[in-house]
Amino acid sequence: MSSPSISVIICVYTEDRWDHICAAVESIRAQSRPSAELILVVDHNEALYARLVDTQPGVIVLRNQEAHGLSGARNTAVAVAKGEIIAFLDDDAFAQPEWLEFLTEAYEDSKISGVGGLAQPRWQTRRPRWLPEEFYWVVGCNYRGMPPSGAPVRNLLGGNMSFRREAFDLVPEGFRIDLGRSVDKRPLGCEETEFCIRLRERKPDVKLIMEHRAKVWHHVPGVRCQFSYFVARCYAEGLSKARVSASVGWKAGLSSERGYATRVLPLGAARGMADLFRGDIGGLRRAGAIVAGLCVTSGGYMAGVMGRNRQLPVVAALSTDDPPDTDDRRPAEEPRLGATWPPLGSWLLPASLALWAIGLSGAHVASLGSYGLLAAVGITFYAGLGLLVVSIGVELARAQISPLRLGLHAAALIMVLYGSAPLVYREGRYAWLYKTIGIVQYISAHGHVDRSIDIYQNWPGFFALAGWFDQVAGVSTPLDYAKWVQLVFELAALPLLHISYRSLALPVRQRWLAIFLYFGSNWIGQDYLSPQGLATVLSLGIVALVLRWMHAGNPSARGQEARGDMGRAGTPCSRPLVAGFALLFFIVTFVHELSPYILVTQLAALAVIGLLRPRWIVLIALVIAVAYLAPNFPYVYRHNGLFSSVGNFFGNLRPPVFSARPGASQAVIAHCELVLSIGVWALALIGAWCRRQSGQAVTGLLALTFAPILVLAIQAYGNEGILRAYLFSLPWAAALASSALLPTLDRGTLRAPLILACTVGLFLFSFFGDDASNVMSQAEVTTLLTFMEEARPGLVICALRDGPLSDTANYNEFPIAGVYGRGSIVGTGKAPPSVAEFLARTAEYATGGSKPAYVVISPVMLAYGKAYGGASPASFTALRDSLAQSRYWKEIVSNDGIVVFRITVAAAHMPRGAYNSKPAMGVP
Amino acid sequence: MSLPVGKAGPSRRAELLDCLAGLVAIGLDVLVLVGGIQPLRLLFALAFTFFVPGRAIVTNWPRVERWSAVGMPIVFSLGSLTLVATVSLWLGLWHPMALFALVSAASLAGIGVGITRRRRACPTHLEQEREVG
Repeated sequence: MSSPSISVIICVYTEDRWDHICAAVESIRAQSRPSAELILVVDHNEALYARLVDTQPGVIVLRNQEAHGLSGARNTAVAVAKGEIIAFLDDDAFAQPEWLEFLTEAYEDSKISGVGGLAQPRWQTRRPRWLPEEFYWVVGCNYRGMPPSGAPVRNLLGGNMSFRREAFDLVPEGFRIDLGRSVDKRPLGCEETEFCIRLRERKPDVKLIMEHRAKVWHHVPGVRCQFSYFVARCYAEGLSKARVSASVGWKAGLSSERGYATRVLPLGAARGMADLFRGDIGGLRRAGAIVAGLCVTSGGYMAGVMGRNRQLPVVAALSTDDPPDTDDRRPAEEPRLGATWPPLGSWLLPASLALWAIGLSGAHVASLGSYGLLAAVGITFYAGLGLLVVSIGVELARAQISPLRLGLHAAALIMVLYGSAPLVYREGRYAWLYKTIGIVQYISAHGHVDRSIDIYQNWPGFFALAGWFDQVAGVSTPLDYAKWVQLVFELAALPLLHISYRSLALPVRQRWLAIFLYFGSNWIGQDYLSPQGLATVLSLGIVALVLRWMHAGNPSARGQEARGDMGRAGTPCSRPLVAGFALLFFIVTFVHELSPYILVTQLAALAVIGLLRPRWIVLIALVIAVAYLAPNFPYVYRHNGLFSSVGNFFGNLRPPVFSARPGASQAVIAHCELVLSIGVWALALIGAWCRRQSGQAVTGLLALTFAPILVLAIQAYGNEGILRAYLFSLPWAAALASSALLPTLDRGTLRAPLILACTVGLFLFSFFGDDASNVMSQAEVTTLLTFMEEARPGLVICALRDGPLSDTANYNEFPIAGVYGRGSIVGTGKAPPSVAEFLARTAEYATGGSKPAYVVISPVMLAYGKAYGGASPASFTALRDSLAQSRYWKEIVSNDGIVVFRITVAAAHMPRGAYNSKPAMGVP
Repeated sequence: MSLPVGKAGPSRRAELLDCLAGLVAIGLDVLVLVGGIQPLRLLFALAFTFFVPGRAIVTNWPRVERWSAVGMPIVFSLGSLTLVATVSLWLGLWHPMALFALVSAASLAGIGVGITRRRRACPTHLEQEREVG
């Protein structure tokens, strides 16, 4: 068998590489097995072309006849090459003398259609210690993890590869011009990968192998040793892989990469860590580079997948079996595209949950510092959450939306955001939770309510339900399940949101994005084991009921607009539905004080703009709300200052301020809360504009979004009105925001997952940042519970009014006062020198000496004081020392930082002294 | 409880949800009677509270689509249980277990009625049933 003739092709584009080009040419001339021809293709550079023609005799110099870029240049050369074997060498590489000889040897097997060689780096500067060998493909060289010599491979590497002539006959369109260098500012690649895959598609028994003896050396300049190039190249590789997958299908397009990502890279990272333990600090950097490279490449792939619809005409044309000059530029075909989508969700979702679980399992929550849980969880927690957002982005970008998969993603997002706290903390967050538990315990124990105790006994719906549930579930206290309730309420909200969004005719992608945005931005945490939690679910249900069955078409809208906003116009509203609505609304009125009024405002806004039928159901709702308030009005008026904030809209609009001097972390958290809230509302406004621009109706959604704010004209709700308004506004703001992020109603852009990621990031700070002052240890809860159960009823003076108190059935017998903080006995000022005596006098004044009094100091109070500046650690020390030294107080409990002092009989006989002022401030 | 064969999706789904609700109600009844194992009883109680009474109401609605079939029972379950618990509290008749027995029995009856009504309906009508709810 005679030796086949070889054409060697070198593509060049810049004179900057003149020396390298000359070296490459010389290396071919010096081959032990001469080539039949050497072709230099100049990529649209006339000066270089002329210089080569003048200086390189015996070389065929061509101009690139196709589009600018490496692929076009190669195709130009292939078209004129006459050799039976066509070999490619990079212009910045040079071959060893036996290169062609070894390549040719491999072709003795007639089944082999392509042979690639080894490309080794020739560093022009020092080899970067951080660059792992697994990523040498970044600098155009063979990398660790490649198959051994002689083994079949999916594709060859462009810098050192060869094919039989027949390969180009089978793939006459050659290398894809939308891949490879120069078609983009980014260092794209993969044109040879895509070519090899298409070659195999055309002829499945094609065999491509690597011959490691055929070596070339690749110059690696210093600029390619920089991390910025590494990142850019990885990102571009991800983009390129996405384009390849679009053309040849994800199975073929990612067949090698799966093994590379799951086997080679983890081993590489482990190797890097092992190097670190051996004392090589570069090992850590290499391991980090592997993780970063994988993430950036995945990100590039994602970006490519999502932005692929813009590339579709080219992709479709080139992926067809017809040559490109047949003008068969078919538009993108959904089935074809659908077939090429990788089932990323099938591994991204479980992988993200696994990472999240690993991150949580390593959380150190025993002593939380600034930023609460955020600083306590491992990096894998964030990696898992990030991967989940990426997975959501993939799902939203799919050609065929799968409700099941999106539902699973929504459930996963809820689990990650609202399930993390109950998983890592032994006890429920928020001091107020324990007050709620106390009321439930009171109802369970007494079987009735006492309206004179507090406002909660006047709105007992939620507590009655919880008391009933405790008995049926066989639990002795809501403490057994309290920390999980928020997660359950959020999961319950999921189908209700979907019903509403579907009734509003939100396109399916916007619908799901709105759901993700809702759960990713519901930071205010009011829906824990609380009346507001139940009221929120019920209110969502009522609005879903109204939108689904009691809406009217928008009279000001046309055609699609009417359907887009309120769905089917003029749906008859039956009496049972009105009865059901009235009953549900009535239930909300005795579950929560403010919710029915916000709901009425939203429904009234819908009725005013003609989107609600019959309009008189708003009147029914209002009558029910007022009718329930009327008998309770004296109590609310007397104790809660019902009219104190009427008309002070802008004052009521202010968010609650816990301290004038919050710590640095608290300031950051407060800013995150503000940015997130305003950001969601701003996005809602942009979404409204987008909907209007695209001819969709917006009035209904705008009314639902911003009507809750109107309630602030009459009620500050203890400075929490704005939080409740946000809570009720959020579902509809999220719906509008989704219109801003997916305005084309088509497959998602990168905007949606990016904004979702930002939202979730802000949510994390807002939701978990305060945990140091919101989380109680098991010892704290148990000790104080035991104290409250066993102590004689009396006044409880807390260092700060933030602790797991009032969680017993006799909570009403333990009025609570605070030492420090606004509205407390000492206030925010400096404590008197003998604060113990001052507190004893106050307690005697408040109780008349007839009941005992206690002072409670616990770790969560200390944490709260530090975070919000209400009291410094020194104040706590001063308080504790003063009490310990005072003859008016006796320490009765001391456990794990929790200290309880009881007033002694000596206090009843204390002399009247300097603090014989009216000490009733802050004392119930 | 055997499922009818060859029925349309919504009807099959409705019966599945009814069976699920019935099983939860009966399971919780049993667990309450025998003083069931704590975590299991808690989970059954949770499922009951969020689904069963509402399902007994929604199953008797003429036509309900998928998400409403899951979502509305949550609202009506929570609502109805809150209502009966609070009213019994106001009336001074606080007997949670008796209340549970009552609600459980009523729910099972409602679910039974719903199933019977659907089965009595002509199968061909069921197949043609349009998802408008």
